[in-house]
Amino acid sequence: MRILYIEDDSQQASDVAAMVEREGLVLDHAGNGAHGLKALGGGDYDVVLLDRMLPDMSGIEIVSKMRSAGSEVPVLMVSALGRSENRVEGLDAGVDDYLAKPFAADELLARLRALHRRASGEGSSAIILFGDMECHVKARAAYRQGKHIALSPKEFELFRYFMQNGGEVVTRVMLLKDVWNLDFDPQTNVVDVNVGRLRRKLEQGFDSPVLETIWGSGYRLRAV
Amino acid sequence: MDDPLIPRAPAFAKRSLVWRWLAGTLLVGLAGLGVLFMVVDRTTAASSRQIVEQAVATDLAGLVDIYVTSGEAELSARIADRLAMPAAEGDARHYLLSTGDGRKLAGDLERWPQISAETSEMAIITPQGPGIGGPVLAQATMLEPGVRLVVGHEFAAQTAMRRDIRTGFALAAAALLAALLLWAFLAARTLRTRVDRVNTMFRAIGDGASAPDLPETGPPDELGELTAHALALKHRIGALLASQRQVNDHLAHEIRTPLVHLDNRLAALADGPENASAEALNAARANIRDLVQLLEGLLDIAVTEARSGERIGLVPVDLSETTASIAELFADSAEDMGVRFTSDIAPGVTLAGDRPMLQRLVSNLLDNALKFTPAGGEVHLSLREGPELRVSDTGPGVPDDWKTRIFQRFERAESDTNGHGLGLALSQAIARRHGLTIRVLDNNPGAVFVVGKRER
Repeated sequence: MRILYIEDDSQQASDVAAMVEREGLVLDHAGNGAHGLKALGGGDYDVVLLDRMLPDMSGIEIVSKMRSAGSEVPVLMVSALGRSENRVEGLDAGVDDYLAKPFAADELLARLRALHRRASGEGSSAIILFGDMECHVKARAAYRQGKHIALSPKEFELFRYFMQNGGEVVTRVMLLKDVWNLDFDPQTNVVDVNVGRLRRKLEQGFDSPVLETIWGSGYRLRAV
Repeated sequence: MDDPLIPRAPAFAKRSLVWRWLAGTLLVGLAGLGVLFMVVDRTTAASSRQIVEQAVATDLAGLVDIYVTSGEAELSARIADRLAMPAAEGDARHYLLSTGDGRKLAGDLERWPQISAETSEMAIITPQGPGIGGPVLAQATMLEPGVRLVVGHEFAAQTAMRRDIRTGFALAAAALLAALLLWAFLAARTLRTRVDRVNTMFRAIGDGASAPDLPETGPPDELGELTAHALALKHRIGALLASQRQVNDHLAHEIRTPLVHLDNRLAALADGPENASAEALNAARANIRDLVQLLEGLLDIAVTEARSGERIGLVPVDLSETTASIAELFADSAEDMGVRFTSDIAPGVTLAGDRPMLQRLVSNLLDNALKFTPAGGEVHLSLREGPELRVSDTGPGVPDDWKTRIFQRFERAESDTNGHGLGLALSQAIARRHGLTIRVLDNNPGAVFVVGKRER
């Protein structure tokens, strides 16, 4: 995955670069909006990581320019302004996801990967296969090792999300946003309880665990 | 007046604004008095002269009549009669009947004055001689060729009256000045005393000292109102300072605890790096996350409070949908805890709001209710038009003396060992940000948290 990071704070840029490259991803850095747009014209990027406040133009302006030029590269905007109206403004301008500074490395990586997957069309097919599990999107049915697993509607939504992001870390905030349509972190164990129920249903009667908890960041569905 | 708590400012008499008012009042008062005096003085002068002139003219006309009807001898006799009559002091009359060449026929004047008999001139003359007290208003006339008569009246009485009026005005002006000065002094002192109380209080607040309470606000006039406002402000500042101290104390404690734990863990790792298990490191990270969570909670409260009542940034939020989502999110937790959780959410309830913040509010209240409701209990969530959000539980309830305190930062039930006691403080800040209030009522058993429009 190739990432373009448009950010004027070089310290922040090198921190993020180190973070991302450790995971084997490629990151190019542009120091301002003009350079960023130029790099976008030339390079083939999978995701754009965009700072909201740049010296020459705002992140919102860059996204507007990108979208009006026909670019569909997904954009993750990072900003110290985590307020909801900024979020709404960003999403209206064509930003795909929004992350408030300061952010944890896991959260950033998980969001980048999710955006990339969504854009490349993975997981939007009628049947998602991952490991020994199947998710029949239209029929809203879940199978493991060919055995049907009865899930409540919300559990199915959760299962489908894990399947779409199979093998990747999914954070609590991502689950809240994409499964429950909530934009905050309740800072309690409610998400864990919901995931725990799904886990029990997915693992009861089978030998191997499939849904692991990654301490401090979230969960990952593993292929068995 | 002599309140020992309130030192009188020195030389207050010099600094009071009453003196400026007084100067204005004096200027206007004295100017008015001056104008009045001038009018009265002029009028009196004119009318008293007129009276004397008429008396002189009448006297002269009478004597002319006598001369015409009875002749010179009779006139001389009458003049002698008139001169013999005692006159009031300053009111004496003088006569001279003389021939054309100046020979005196009758009267008390020795010489013909500078006055023309041919034109019947009337003028003030100052004759010399015995029995003459002062200036005389005189009129002369020709009785026949070679015989002329002058009649004069003294007018010292009228002059004295004018003098009395002048003295009266001068005394009145002096009395007015004295009365105004006295009034201004008393007013200045009262004003100063009352203003000084407020000033002393504010000075003490400014100096950081504990300000004395005002014994009373005084009469219910504008100064009384000002004093009452000052007093209310003082209490508000006091409450804020107390709350700030309370927050600081708690904060220091809340930060110290995880830091000490963290230090202990790091010390153990320093002693034996081989102890650096993922578990130990994660426990250390948990301490750090706890701290970050605490600080984020405080920041959220501070930011939300700062934007209280601000309409900018609020977008229409479908509260029904959001509340339903949160209810769904918490349903499994409630079931796991053995709590019967029900909800009754009216559709289409919207509010101009900050969506993530409103979600926090609903989630905090639900989380709280579940935390304090024992297994077998019930939690009910309802949303109605208004909007009015109610979260009721069958937990231990909130005692009356905690019903306000519970919304303060760091205040938490003793049984609550998780968290930092910020949830309800944030909930209240969020409610206020949206022009709503949050209250806790009795549910018998348990508590009901009600978020709704401010009661008028």
